Amino acid sequence: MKNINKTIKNKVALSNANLNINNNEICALIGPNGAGKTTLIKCLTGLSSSDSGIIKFDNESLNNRSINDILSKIGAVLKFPESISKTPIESIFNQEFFYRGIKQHKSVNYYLNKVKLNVSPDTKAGKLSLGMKQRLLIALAISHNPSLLILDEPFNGLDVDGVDLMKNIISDFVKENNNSVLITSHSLNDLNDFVSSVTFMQSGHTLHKETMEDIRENYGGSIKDYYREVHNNEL
Amino acid sequence: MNFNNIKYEINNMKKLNKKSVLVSFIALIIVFLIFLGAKDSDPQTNHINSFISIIIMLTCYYELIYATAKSCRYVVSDYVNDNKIRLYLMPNGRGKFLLNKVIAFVGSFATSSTIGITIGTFLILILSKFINFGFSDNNINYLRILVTLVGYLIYLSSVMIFATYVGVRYQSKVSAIIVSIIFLFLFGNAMISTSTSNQVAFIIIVLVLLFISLLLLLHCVRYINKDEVSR
Repeated sequence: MKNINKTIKNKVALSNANLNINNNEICALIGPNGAGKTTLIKCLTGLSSSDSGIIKFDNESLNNRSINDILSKIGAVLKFPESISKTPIESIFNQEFFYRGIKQHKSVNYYLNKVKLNVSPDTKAGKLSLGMKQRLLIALAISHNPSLLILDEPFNGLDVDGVDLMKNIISDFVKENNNSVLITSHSLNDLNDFVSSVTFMQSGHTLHKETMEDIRENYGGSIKDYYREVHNNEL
Repeated sequence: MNFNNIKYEINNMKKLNKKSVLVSFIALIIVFLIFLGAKDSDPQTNHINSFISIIIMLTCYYELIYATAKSCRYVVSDYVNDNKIRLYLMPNGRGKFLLNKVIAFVGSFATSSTIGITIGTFLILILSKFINFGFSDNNINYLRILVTLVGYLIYLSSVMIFATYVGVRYQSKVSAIIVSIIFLFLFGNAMISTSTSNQVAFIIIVLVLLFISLLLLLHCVRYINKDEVSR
């Protein structure tokens, strides 16, 4: 994503924002509330259109023609859609398989086991706890083998075990096929031990990407310390 | 349009469609029993053909509200607030997705409802051969009844599309219900009087409504294609 600009209701949401994610990378997008993280993700997934700038995925530019092709390579976990609350998990998966054109897929239990979700496929999605819902969304997002997984605030409302489990699931996903992950989170301490790079965002613009090696060297491996310094500098 | 997707959606609604046949059948029989006693005071409804047309249209008004409520459950709710994100992330084209969903839902629901009404109507017609319901004219005009049933199917489909359009466009289930109630008040009398007295006018009205509703549906498809998830 290069020089992305976006104005929403006369307010600048993104200003020359840049983001680059490589294969086999877990990239954390951090910044204060209202920095434009979710807007940037929405531009990347075509949920929102950018006013200017270039978005490329595997060297393919994002436009009306390529959007479906690009979406088939992306798995995204944003907000839990309440409209699926009354639907059994198995039906939700079947819908996902059908609409993504996945003819040869593994069983629903395989995907549920992958995210350590030990519930019956007949269970209605609304009956799951917050952490289980997050895991269900991840299972759905990875069911079509995407090369990029986007997670918007996946640790929100999770307990310590839930966070650890989520981190394992994300790490496994990356190891499997050289996949990539873009993750936004305010739980900075939880990111320290498993992300490979960090991009800081504030007031719609991004700073250059820092690798975890740089953060280890300059901030003792604490993303929170890095955040504090760049946040204060930006202010 | 993608016929595979439409077929898939219809398969998902099998249960609802079976229920719809039953609900419309029972609704027609209840309306029939309620108005059977009231018909004596009105000479126009003393003819079996007019009486059947009137009870079909009265049942239609109940079905409008029921159909809109189901549309809110099966179509509109997927497009309200953040729920639409899941559909927008599917690599099928958002507009086509909506079009397939609406065609599958409206087509299958309206057809099921019409089947229920048709079964109820013919049951009443058969019973009228054996039981004296007190009609002044018992000669059944099948063509007229068929026109009323076709009009019912088109009118129900049109209002369902109108209500779904408003629900999706303004992301509000309540608005969808309000639209179907407004249609009931706006066209209620006109539909009943034309279905009993001037069936050409009746068919013209429902066809015009269908045409406008299809235009709105296409507008909605274009809107969805450009819709921004900004919140």
